[in-house]
Amino acid sequence: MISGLVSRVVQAAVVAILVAAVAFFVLQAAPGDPLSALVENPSVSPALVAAERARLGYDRPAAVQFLSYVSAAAGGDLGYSASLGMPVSRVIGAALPHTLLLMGTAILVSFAVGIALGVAQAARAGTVFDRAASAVSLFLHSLPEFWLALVLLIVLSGRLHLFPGGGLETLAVAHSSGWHWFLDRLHHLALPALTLVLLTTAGVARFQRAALLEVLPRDFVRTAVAKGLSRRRVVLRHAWRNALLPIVTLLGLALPALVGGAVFVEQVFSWPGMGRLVVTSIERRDYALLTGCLLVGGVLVAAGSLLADALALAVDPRQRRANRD
Amino acid sequence: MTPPSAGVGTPDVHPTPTTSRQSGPPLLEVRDLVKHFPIRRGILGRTVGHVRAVDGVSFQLWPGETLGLVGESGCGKSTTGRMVLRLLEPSAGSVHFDGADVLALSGARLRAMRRHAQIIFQDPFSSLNPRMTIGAAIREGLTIHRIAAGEAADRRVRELLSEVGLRPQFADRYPHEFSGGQRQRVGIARALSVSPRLIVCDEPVSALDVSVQAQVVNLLQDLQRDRGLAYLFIAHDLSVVEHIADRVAVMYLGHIVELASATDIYREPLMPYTQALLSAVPVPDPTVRSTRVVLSGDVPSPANPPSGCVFHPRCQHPRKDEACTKLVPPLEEKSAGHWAACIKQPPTTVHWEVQKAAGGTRQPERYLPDL
Amino acid sequence: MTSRFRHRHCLTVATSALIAALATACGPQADGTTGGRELAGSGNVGGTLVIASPTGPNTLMPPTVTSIQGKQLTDLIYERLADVGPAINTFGDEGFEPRLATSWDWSADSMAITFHLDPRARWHDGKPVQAGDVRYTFRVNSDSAQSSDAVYLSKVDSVSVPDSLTVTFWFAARYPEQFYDAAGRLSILPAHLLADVPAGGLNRAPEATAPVGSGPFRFVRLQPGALIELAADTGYHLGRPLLDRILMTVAPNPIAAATQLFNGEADLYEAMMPQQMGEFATHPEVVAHIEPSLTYNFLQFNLRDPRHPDRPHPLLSDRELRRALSMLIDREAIVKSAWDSLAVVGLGPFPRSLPTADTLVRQLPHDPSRGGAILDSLGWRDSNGDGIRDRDGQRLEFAVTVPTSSAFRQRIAVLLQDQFARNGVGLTVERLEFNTFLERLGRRAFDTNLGSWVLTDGSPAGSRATWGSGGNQNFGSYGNPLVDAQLDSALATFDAADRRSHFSRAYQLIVDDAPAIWLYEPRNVIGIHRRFVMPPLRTAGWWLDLPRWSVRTGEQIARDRGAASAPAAPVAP
Repeated sequence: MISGLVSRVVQAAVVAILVAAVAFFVLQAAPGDPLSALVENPSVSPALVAAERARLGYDRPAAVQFLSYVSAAAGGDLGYSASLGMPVSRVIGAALPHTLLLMGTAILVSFAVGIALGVAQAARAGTVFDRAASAVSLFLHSLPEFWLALVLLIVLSGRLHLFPGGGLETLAVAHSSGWHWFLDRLHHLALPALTLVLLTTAGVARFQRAALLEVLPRDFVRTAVAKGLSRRRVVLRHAWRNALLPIVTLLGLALPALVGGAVFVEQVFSWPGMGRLVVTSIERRDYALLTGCLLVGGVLVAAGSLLADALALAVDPRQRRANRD
Repeated sequence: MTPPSAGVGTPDVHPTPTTSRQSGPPLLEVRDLVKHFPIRRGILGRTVGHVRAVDGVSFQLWPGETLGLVGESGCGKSTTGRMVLRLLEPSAGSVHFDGADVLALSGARLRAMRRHAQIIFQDPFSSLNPRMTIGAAIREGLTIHRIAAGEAADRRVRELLSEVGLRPQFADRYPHEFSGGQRQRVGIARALSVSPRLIVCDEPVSALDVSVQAQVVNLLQDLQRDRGLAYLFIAHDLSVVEHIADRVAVMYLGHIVELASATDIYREPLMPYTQALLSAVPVPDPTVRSTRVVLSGDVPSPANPPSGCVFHPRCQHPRKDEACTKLVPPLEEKSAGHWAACIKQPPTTVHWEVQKAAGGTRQPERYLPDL
Repeated sequence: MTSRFRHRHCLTVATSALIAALATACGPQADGTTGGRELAGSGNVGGTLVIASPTGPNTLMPPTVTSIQGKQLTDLIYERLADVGPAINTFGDEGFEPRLATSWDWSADSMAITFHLDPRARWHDGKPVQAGDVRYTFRVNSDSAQSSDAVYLSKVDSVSVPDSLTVTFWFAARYPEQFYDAAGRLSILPAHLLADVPAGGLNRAPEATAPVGSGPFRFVRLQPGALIELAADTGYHLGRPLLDRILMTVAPNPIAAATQLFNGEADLYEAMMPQQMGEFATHPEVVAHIEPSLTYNFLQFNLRDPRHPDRPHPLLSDRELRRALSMLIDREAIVKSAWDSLAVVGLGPFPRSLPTADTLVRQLPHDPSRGGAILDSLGWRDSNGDGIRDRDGQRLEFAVTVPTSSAFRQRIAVLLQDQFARNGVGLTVERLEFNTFLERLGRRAFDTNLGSWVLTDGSPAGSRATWGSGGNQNFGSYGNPLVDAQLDSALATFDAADRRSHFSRAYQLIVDDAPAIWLYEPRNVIGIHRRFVMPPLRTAGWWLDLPRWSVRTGEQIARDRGAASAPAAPVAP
């Protein structure tokens, strides 16, 4: 058991480093470097660009750059972001909590709503309610993230003024209490989170519906009915608990998004998170920042998948006992 | 006693079993039970036809009696068993349990009825909730029906486990930690926990090793003797039923085609289908010779059953003729308490003139292959 | 010729606007820093300006600032010896306004300029600004590995410090932009904080993300990629700015940024798109300031073969061909179609706002029939009837590279393609990711590109690098010795009329040679909340007069009344 966890952690670490390496070299191979945007700026001298390149080490071979990066990263130094002018650790340290907040909220809400909807649909499979919910889900699921975010922004914020047009909080206003501050943060969080919830709930609901429909005809559910249990108890206590494993798996797959952020939603709603960092780092060829984001992301993804494994153990006694024996 | 007067599938008929145990009103009375499953096609789910899984089944079951329900897979026997407990909603027909109209019950009253009628499934593993300890699974029935709670319920669980031959301390284990036979004992304990009067045994031993099958059947027989249980014992194999059933009903394509006491069925099977089934029973003694009746062809689709006698495409009866493909054979009493649906096995209410009019060329004649 | 730049120069150059400011600045001051010149105008003290910006700064260390956001912020946090003034004249000291220097003297031979620092000037940490800071700033900026300005400072021989409030720039030669290079380019850095930072390490010093300047606004906080907050420096030596706070919030999506502006969450957004103009009609609380810019856009021809840079381009090295191609293009129609009224047709290698601009430069006419006739006479005829002219089996067809980051440049490429096609010229559009686009520019690996030059000040000195022979940003490898000579003369002369005529001749020669088709100059559309009162926005940057902005009486909103986060704010009631 313990050795299994350790090997998973090691596995995840190796994967993270490999991903970071691939990203690093691909970005290196792409035209330009963090300073190439200065080429079109007549007020920046080529000498300064060359000197800055040398300072940042971009004149060395990519492999050498990567090795020195990894060795520094092993010591906790994630390097220096040329595009933001500060250490990568500081940039990520600032962005990560924002992304965790947004994605955590979105995942929590979309799983709660998605599971409830999926269970309700499966329990009434084939009814008008089920079909309508499926159709709406499919429609929302197929919407492009960027487009939906913009439409919600334009309509709910721009036209109806129900929500702020972006950012983390109302700027430059002193809140009279912690409660007001909290409400203000919630108000700003609502629209980006809603976008993500609309997009992902459908998937969760479909997953939950299918999983429950697969379980409902099983004999132990009939057994539960035959025992004389109420329908509610049969569906929730017997069938649903056995239809949770696919959802836990789905949750494990969703966790990386916690770290990666929702690129377009963060972009549209001016949410300063990890997704935007990744985009910025690619646009500006910020090797250190991208590699740092991926390394941190890899570590957290590994942690997330361990968490998902732990959850799977919690919902499935078979795995628990199999380990005991 | 209702005299059978029409063919199988006609609504107002059910055979009247005669048995030594018969006394007082039946515990379970099933009349003309029908289950049609719609066949849906296309994205709109239009119904394009029906699978007639059960097409007019009637029987009675008395307290303490075991009725075997036998047939090949897909014949509708399990569907019948589930409709009796309303685990499936019948399309038509009626079910009376202890005089009450089961199909009219709903909500709490239906759940209360279920306390008295339990089911044991074929696959003892899939019928147990993998997320629950077996103790919890057994206990749930006790608490739901307020039979016992707290310490008393725990004690009752342990008693039930030992009653079915399991160690009481197994209560906190999960189903996957047991062998197949043990799981089926758990399933039995679970069914027994609410002290039912009827247990539908849906192929309870088919999934078990032969050596274990006998133990479980013996257990069921012991329990029946001790508690006066009635069993509706569903099996695809006549040899299993032989040991436990008082009477046997043979089903084919949603119809009961023969119903008689176990002794009669095994000694004198009248329906050619029963004959074929019996010849498929493995005989323990290899020196016993038999003329094997071999079923040829596949079971026809219940979505599109053959005309006339549904068995006619596979029938080995030497007098089979055109009339068999036209006339629906009624389930009729061939001898006392022995019902069969075959117009070529005399006596029959379908007279020769009627048969000839339907293209019959061969007069009915008793056929009993040497089994 | 002894120029008028030689005479002693004092604050008599102050503009009328500045004098007006002097008269009224004392009123609202609460901290009693009266007397002397005041930068701030009249108006209420207090107020918060929230700027929505598409991106954040790359650094807040002036010598290496390259982004416009970095420039905006450091222009407010740091200070120069003198400010170039609204006329953005960079020749001599005419129009310059005192900042850190209260006055300056020219030596008799114009080879030295001595600046007298304002004794009241303080760094935001309370230390006085001293002459040593200026000398340190010069040293840093004269190192080409540390500053882009090194190239301009190469003619400064040395900087001496006679006393703590006096600093003298000694020049190796006399030239017209002497004063601008010394006083107008360099943001003065705090030597007491940075002197120990090793060469090349400025960007990693703490002050690169938490700057300590001597300008009107002090740095308060930075949330990377999200927010930067500045506060009024109430002890500013030219009088405290009227606004309490300036917040720059990053809103990468233009629709989102505009939504924040029109929702009242932000007060200023400067990258409005033409299709967003309609919003102003329904939101009277936001005023659209449409201002000329220092940007000009063009279709640049590569005169060299992209595959063999040592050879001329097989098509586009032909001057007559380029002139004919220019005549095929209806620039008016293109600008109207893509920009409506938010851009004007380009006239040559300069924006109209540049002091040396010449709006009378003779243009190549839009005359497709004449252009076609020239092409015919050059032998470019459609001999096979496929719609594209050809000559000796070669088709008159070339590519244009466009960055995908700019929707406008992509639209314009398509409009050009259409107009060329109607006249038998094939143009293929090659859309490139921005970095790839730049990389191809740098390698000179293109036929034509949709390029743009954004000038950050009024100095025409960069035109030598962009259109002169061998200029390092002359991506089309255009070269004309006559142009080089005119530009050199223009940049060397001290006579205004002379300078003007040299530039005019240079521009005319360039336009006649058609190294590019001069397409348009976009106008800056800056949406600003109505409650702000401000002097006319400056061409070199709307933010340059921010210390004079204030909030109209009675129109304050919640965030204007919020307590100033400046730690020493004495205005709080």
